[in-house]
Amino acid sequence: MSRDPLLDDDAYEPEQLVLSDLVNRVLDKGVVISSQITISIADVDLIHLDLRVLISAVASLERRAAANAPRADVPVRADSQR
Amino acid sequence: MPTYLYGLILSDSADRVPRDVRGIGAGVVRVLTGRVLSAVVGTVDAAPERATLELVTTHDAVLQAVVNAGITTAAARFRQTFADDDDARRHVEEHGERIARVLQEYAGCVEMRVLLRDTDPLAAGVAVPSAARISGPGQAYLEQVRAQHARVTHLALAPMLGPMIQAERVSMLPDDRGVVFAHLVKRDRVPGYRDAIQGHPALAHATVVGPLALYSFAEPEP
Repeated sequence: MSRDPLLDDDAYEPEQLVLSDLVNRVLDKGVVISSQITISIADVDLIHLDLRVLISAVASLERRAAANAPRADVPVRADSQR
Repeated sequence: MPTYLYGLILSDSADRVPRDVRGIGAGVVRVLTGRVLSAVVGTVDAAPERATLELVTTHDAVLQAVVNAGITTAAARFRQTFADDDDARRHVEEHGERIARVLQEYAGCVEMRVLLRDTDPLAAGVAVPSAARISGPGQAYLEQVRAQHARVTHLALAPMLGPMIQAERVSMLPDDRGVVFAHLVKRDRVPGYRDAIQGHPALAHATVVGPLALYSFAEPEP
């Protein structure tokens, strides 16, 4: 299975690792007392798709926030917040 | 209305479960009290049709609230839904003995998890002997499974942590993304456990998660 390029770099940060572990432990660990529990491969694929979308969205937001952040070399007037 | 199961606790802790927790579908979380074992449940409109990140996160958050109240909790696997409370009680009674034994044995414990990326020295440094020759995709898949298993069985933090932990289980995240060490730890030893992990040079980049409900230790050792 090939790895997802979105997650396949050095930027696989602790937050992403924590989310990936959360998904895997909730879907794959814990007590089973119902015989009807089924988590299909499609489910796992879909939730990993959710995860990729989330991580992608967070990355976009961070990029946007960085782009919109006031530059340190541009003075900000005290009344510019209004 | 269907009853959704989040986790199981010993009945002597039932009155300590917080009353203000909302679960899947914003349903109030409540306790079905049994003789020895009680179930942490909620009412849902229907069984979740599929896993979503939001549902999975909510499931875990409910368990976190129970653990934060100081209760040793066996996590239920996601998506276990019953026709009603009576049906849920029947299933708990049927399967409850083994879970009650685990909870009694692990009373006062939580699960801690150490996450290592596949690039971290400890996770990456394990040499695995490879198969001599791979003749097709089937064998390649089996070889991948075998290699993962071999890596996991070579890894252990237990010798380093000593009596600070009660038990250890090691697994790998899908696609070889990282290694997870699940540890059973007495609550009062969690600060020392964290210090030991963070002070170890090979674990400088490790992420420690917890205290959590018992996920990897909810069932007896296979």
